[in-house]
Amino acid sequence: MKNTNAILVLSLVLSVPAVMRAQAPLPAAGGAPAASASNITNAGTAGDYRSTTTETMSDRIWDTKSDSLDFENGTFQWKGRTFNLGNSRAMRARLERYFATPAPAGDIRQYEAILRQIEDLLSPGKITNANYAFNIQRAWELLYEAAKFEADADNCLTIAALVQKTARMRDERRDLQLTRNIHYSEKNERLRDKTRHESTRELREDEASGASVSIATKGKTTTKSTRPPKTGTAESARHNEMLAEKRAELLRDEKEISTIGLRSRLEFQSQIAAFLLERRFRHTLIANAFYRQLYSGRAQDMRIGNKQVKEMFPVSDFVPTIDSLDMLAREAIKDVDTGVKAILSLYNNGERFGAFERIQETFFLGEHEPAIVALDPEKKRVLKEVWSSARDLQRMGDERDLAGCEETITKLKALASDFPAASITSKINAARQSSDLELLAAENAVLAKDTNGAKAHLERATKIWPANPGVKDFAKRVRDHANQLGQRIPEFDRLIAEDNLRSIYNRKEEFGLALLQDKERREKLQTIISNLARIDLALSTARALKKQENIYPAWDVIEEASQYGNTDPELGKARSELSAAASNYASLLAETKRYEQSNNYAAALTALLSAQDLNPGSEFCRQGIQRISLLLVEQEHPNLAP
Amino acid sequence: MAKPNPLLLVFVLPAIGVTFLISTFIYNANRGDANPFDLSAYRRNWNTLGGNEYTLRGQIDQQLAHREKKGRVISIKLLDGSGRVPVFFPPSINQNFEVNQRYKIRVRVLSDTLYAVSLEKF
Repeated sequence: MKNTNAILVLSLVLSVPAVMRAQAPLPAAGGAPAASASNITNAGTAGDYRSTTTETMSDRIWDTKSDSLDFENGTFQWKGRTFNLGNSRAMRARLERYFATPAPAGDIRQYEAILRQIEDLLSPGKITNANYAFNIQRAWELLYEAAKFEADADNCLTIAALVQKTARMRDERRDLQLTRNIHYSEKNERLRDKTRHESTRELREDEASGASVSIATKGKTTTKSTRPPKTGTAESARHNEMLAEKRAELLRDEKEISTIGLRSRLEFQSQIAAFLLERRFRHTLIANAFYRQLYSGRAQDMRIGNKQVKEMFPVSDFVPTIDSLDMLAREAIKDVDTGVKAILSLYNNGERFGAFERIQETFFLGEHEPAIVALDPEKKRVLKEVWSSARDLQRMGDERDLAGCEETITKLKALASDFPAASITSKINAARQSSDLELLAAENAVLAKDTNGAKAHLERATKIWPANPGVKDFAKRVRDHANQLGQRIPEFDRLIAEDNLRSIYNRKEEFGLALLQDKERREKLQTIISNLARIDLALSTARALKKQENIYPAWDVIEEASQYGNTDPELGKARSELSAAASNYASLLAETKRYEQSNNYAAALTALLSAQDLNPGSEFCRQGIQRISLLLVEQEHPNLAP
Repeated sequence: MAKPNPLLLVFVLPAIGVTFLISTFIYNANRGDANPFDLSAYRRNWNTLGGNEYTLRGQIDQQLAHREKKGRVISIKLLDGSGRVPVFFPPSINQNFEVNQRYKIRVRVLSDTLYAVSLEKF
């Protein structure tokens, strides 16, 4: 089969040397391309991309828009051109499949070398009249060699089949042309005989009627006429009729021949466009190279896939040609190579998130490029892990799972030191705080019995952070709060009855919340809090005085504080701590108090005066003396006048 | 109604008068010899001193309270022993007290209060 194909291709090659000569001019002296700058887009200039015109056109077409992936629409933007890669799920699936796929079988370098060899054989710089047939044949054979590699995915076989088909169509066309030529030669002969026979017959009829005499000898006709001759007119009319018929036939045959040629050309162009749109850039180059050698210079404009190809170029008056596709494919290959170098450099520097970002763009541009296909599987595995974590992070972000986001960020930071975690972390913290504040506001609203407010705050808190563990706690607290309200009031009353004000003071927040709506108890609570706060202040003052050996003043402070809660255990404790050192003074003050309470003001005053003798500077004693003296003088006294 | 005997008036009335004077003298002589005030006994239990009168030698410390028609309470620093005691002076004892003045004061103990009965500056 392969040999048959080879013969077909060889026959094709031998039949089109003129085509080859027309579109592949030999390089001029010095290696400069023969084609002028002006005919670059039309004439065959494959293999030469140094033309300034080409560069200008390239700059005009390839604007400097950055490459980008649009997962929403499943498109990939590359230098202003958009490749449709299917929907986002398909794109992701392809990328995931790529990461999970081991390196293809066979030596990828050898495969690349074969492809380069094919291009080389077909390049205008290498092909000449002498080696044209050999090069085409050899390049065609190498297509089968390349197709043996897994990375090729049998695309070289497609090109080979296309070349073979082109050869067959060309044969058909040649056969048709040959048949037509033979047919027209025979037909012309028949027409000439018929014309000659009819002319002779007419002449004889004229002679017989005597109107005119016409003698034909050795191809020459001599007419003697006695009336106006009519023989010449009839012959001319028949001749014209035959010519018209012949012209029509010729046109019909020409059309048939041209249709065969056009069909062959269009099929080839279709495949080239398909290769480009599929981003099989190397196959685009090889198919282009074959096309350029097999078709004349007039056939270099793209007629198939014109619309799709035009869509790739952001220039309205752009006319796609084989050359422009060639240029695009080469630029893409170069870009992929640069991308792979960047990926490897970033990866080796530990910047794996950057490497992952670059591999996305590079993969979608050069998915089938050998450099991408042959990337180290271990590196791909690590990058896949980065990708999976990044996707998890995105999903958790969508679901507002902030705790999960934090865990994933930690994982990502371990995998890729360049992962931009700071901004995400700060957003997570802000969201957390915001959610917690909403919960707090909801809790306050519950306490204020503002059900609607509590509901609104709770909704906002869960919207910001649905998995906020505080939400669960909040529900529990609200439930507990309802229970507590019922329990706290009797407990408060009990503690009051037991004069255990310190216990109330120690749980003042708890009681404060519970008694918020109970005005009477709330006022009691406020008094308790105020009194015990004063006691606490006095206790700290007394401790400081005791430290300075000012025992009696310390006792005074305790005594003064006792008016705010004489039964306070803390006060009692402080009193017992001081009582040993201040026993005299303390007992005098105790007497004072006792006597004052029993209205024995004189005795109380006597004790207090004694106490003042011990602690002359005591404000407590001074005030006490003043107070009790007045009480004494105001008493009813017997008339003891002598 | 019969007229009183003039002789009776001449002898009996002077005799009653003399008797009264002698009695008064004896009474006053007894009062001036009241026991000194014992602060510790007072503080232990003033009830045991109730109704008694004592002599208290002291120095004016300070006036603690004063009510025009009620009297005043003055702190007296004891000269016999240590300490101070509040003494109630009824308005009938109209005396200008100055700090540090020394007095011998006769006091009567009623309940826990020391009432000044008389005083003598020294």
